[in-house]
Amino acid sequence: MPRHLPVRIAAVTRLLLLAVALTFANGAVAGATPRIAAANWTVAETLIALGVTPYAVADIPNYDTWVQSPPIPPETLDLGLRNQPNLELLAQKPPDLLISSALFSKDNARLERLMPVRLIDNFSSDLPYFEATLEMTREIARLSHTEARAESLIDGTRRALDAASQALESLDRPVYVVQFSDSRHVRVFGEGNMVGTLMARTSLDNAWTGPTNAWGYANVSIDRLAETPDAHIVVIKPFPRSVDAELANNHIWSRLPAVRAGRVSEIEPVWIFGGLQSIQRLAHELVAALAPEGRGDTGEAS
Amino acid sequence: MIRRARSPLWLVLLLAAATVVLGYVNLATQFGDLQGQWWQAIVSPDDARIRQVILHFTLAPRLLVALMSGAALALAGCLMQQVLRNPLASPATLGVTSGAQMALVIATLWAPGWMLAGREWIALAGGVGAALLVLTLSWRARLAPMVVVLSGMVVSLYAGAVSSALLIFHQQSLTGLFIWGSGALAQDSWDDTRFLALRVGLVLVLSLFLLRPLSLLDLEEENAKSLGISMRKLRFAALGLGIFVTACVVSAVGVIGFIGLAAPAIARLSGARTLRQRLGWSLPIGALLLAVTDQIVQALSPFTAALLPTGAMTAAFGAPLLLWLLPRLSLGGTRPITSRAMVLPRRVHPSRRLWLLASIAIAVVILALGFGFVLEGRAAHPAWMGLDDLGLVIDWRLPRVMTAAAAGLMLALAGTLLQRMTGNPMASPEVLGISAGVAIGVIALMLLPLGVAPLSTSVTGLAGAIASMLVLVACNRRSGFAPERLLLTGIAISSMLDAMRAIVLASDDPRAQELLSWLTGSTYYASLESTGWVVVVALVLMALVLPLQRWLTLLPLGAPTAKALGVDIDRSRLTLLALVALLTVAATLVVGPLSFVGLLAPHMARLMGLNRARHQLIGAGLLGVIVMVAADWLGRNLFFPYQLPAGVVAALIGGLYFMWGLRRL
Repeated sequence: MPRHLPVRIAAVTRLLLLAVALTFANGAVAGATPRIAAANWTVAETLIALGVTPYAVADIPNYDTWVQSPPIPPETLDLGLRNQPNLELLAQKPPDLLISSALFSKDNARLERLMPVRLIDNFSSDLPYFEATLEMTREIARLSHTEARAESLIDGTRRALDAASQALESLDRPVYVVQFSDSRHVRVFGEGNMVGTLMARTSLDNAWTGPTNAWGYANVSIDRLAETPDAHIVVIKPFPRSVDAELANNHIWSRLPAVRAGRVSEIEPVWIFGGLQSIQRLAHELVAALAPEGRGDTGEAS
Repeated sequence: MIRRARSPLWLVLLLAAATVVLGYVNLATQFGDLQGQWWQAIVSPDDARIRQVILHFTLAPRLLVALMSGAALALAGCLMQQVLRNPLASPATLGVTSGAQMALVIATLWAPGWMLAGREWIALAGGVGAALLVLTLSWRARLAPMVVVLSGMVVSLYAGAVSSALLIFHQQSLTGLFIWGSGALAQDSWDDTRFLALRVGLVLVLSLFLLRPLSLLDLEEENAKSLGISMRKLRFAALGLGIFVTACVVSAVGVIGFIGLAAPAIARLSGARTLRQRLGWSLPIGALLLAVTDQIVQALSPFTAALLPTGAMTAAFGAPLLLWLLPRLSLGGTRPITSRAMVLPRRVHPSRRLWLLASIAIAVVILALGFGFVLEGRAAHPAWMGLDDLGLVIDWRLPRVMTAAAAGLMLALAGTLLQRMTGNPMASPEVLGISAGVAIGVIALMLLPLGVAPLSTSVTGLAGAIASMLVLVACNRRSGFAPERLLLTGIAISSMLDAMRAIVLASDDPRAQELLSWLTGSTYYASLESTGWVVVVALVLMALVLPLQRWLTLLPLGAPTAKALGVDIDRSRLTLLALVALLTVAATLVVGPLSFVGLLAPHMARLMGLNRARHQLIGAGLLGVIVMVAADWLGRNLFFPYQLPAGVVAALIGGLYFMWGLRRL
C-alpha cells in the first residue's frame, strides 16, 4: 500500500515546517516522551496535536485522505488496518503503550502481553461528545507527559469555539452539515459529535432534526435536505469517487432551495469523529464558509 | 405442481393492490402538503417549488424504475432458464450481477473517470465477462444445467471475494458503493427511467421475436434440431439479451439479485406452463414484487437513521419465499450426470500420495511459521525468523497458523462427508448454506441489543447451522435430496446471509468493518488458548469421523443399496449431519463463511485418485490444511503490514483451482 508520492512530498514538507516550529516553540519535552502507538485516528491526531510523534499509527494512507491535519510525521510506522493493527510488527519492537479504542479492539487482554494497552475513546464514554473529547485529551496528555500542552490545546479550542460563536452570531439560518456517500445520499450530522458540539456552543441551529445513529449521523437521500428549505448546506470534503462531477447533472440537488440560492459551501476534509484539533478546524472552516467577514477572528490555535 | 388449475392472476392482482395501497400511503405521508397538486407535480412541476420538484424527480421515477427493473430481471431469468433448460438459472446464479459489481468496485478505485463516462458500460463489461467465464467453464459439459449453475456460483463467490478484499482496504471510500451494491432505488431524475425504458423495451421486443423458437426448446433438443433451428445461435442470442438487460439494471440501480430467480419460479408454480405464459406472468410478478418491496422500504425509512437498501430487502423477503416454494417446485427430469467425476481411475499407491501431501503440509506450516517480515530500524523486510525470536513466533504466528490448519481440516472433512452422503460432488458446507447459517446466527447476535442473553457466538452460530440443516432436510426430504434442489436450498439460505450482510454494510455503521473482517475469515483474533481449543475440537471430530468410513463407502451407492448392505440409513445420516454441523460451526467461527475449502479439498483429493472413503478423508483433510495455512501466510505477508483474511485468500486461490478443475468435469 504505497502512498502517493506527491502527497508524501507535500506531507514531508509540511512536517519539516511543523518540526522546525515545534523545536523553537518548546525544546526538550521530547526526551521524556514514551513511544506510543495509536490504532485510532482520533488518538493519533491528538498525540500529534500535543507535539508527540506517535511510534506507529494505523492505516496512514487513509488518514491522509480523511483526517489530513495534523499530518503524520514521516518516522511514524504504519500499523496496518485500523481494526487489526499488525501484531507481528508490534511484537518485534513493542512500544511503551498502545492506545486502542472500544470499536476497533476486542482483545486488549491478549495485546497486554506485548505492551501496556489503554482503551481511550471519545465515543464509548457516557459523557457528551465534547466533554468526552476533553477527557480523552487530558488522559492522552497524562500518558505522554504533555499536560501543559493539553491545557493550552483545550484553551485554544475554547477560544476557537468562542470566536466562532461570535463570528456566527448574526447568522440566523439553520445549517445542514453533510458529507456525500454517493451522488444521491449524504451523511447528515446531528447531535452527539463535533457538529452537535459546535451547534450547541454557537448560535447555529442544526437543520437536521431527524434520528441519528450512535455516532450522531444519519445516512439519507439528498431530497431530505429540502425539509428545512431556508437552510444553508455545508459539505465536508472529500467527495467520494466522482460525486462532485455527477452533482452537476443531479436535478434534485440543483433545485434544492439552498443550491438555487447559492447557500452551499464546501469545506476541506475534517474528521468528524476526531479530537480537539479537528474541532478547531471545523470551527474555522464553518466560520470561513458561513461568515466570511468574521474570518480573521478564529486563528487556529494549537 | 399443486395449483396447476389456477392462474397466477390472483397473485398479480394481490401484488398490484398492495402496490397501489402502499404507494398511496407513501404519497400521502411524504407529500401530504401537496395534496391536490400531485398530478401537476408529476407531470410538470413548478421549478421554484422544491416540494413539487422532489415529487417529480423521486417518487414517480422510483416507482417506474422499480417496476421496470423487476420486469427486466424476471425477463432475464426467464430467458436464461429457458435457454439453459435450467430452473436455477438467473442473473445472480450465472454470476452476472457479481461480475458487474466487481467491475464497478475496481473502476471506482482505479479509474474513477470511467465511472463518469459510463457506469453502465463498466457494469456490462463485468457482467458479460463473468457470464462468458461461466459459459467457458461449462462448455465442455455442453452447458449441462448443474455445471452452469455451479460455475456461476464459483464465479460469483470469486467476484465477491475480490470485492470484499478491496472493501477491507478502502472502506471509507467505498461507502457509497455499499449503498449502490445493495440496490438502493432512490432516484433523483428521470434519466434512469428513460435509460431503462429504452433498453428494457428493446430487449422485450427482441425476446418476443425469439419466443417461438425458444418455446421449441421445451421439446427434446433433438426434435428441435430436426425442426431446423440452430441451437447454438438461438442460445447465444437469448442469453445475450438476458445478460444485457441485467447489466442495464445493475448499472442503473445496483444489485437486486433475487427477482430473476424467484419471479419465473413463482409464475411456473402458480400455473404458468408454456414459455409464453411463463414470460407473460413472470414479468408482472417480478415488477410488482420489487415495487411492493420498495414501497415497504419507503414506508419504513422515516423511522430509521440507517438506509434500507431495497435490493437487499428483496432478498431478505425473497429467500424464505423461495424456501417455501421449493418442495412445490417441479424441477423436471434434467437430473445431471455428475457421477462421472466419481469414477476416475483409481491410483495404485494412494498411500504414497498421502505421504506426499503430508510432507507438503509440514513444509507449508514451517514456511508459514518461519518466514515473514522482520522490522529493522523503521522498515520491515521479508526474512526468516532467527531462533532467538522463537517466543515471537510461538506467540503471534503459531496461533494463526494452527487455527488456519484446524479450520481447513474441519471444512475439508465436512465437505467430504457431505459429498459422500449426498452423492453430489458439488455439495459443501459453503455451497449448501450451512456456513451461511452460522454467519446469520453470529450477525443476529451482533445486532441484538447487548446483554439480552448470556449467548456466545458459538451458541448462536450452532443454532444457525442447525437451522439451515433443518431447512435443508425439510425442503429436500420428499425429493430424496435431489442435487439441484439441495443446491437451490443452499443458494436461498446463502442469499439470506448476503441480504443481511448488505443491510449491515449499507447502514454505514462503523461496526460494519468488524463484521466484514470476520465474514471474510481472518485468523487475526486467534490466541494460543483459543487455538488450543480449536485444534482439540478438530482432532476429536476427526477421530469421530474416520471410523465412519463404512457408511461413507456405502451411502454414495444410494439408499436402497446401502440399506440392503445393512446400513441404518436414518441413523447414519443423522450422525453424519450432526458431525457436519459441528465441523462447520467450529471452522466457520474462526475463518468465516467464505473459503471454498470444503468444496475444494474433497474434489482435489479425488482428482488425485484418492477414491476410497478413508483415503479421501485424510487426503482432503491434508489439502484443507495446506490451502488454509498457505492462504493465511499469503494474507499476512502480501501487503504487510496490511493483512488480508485467510478466508478471502483461500477463496481466491481455491476459486482459481476450482475453475480450472471444472473444465474436466
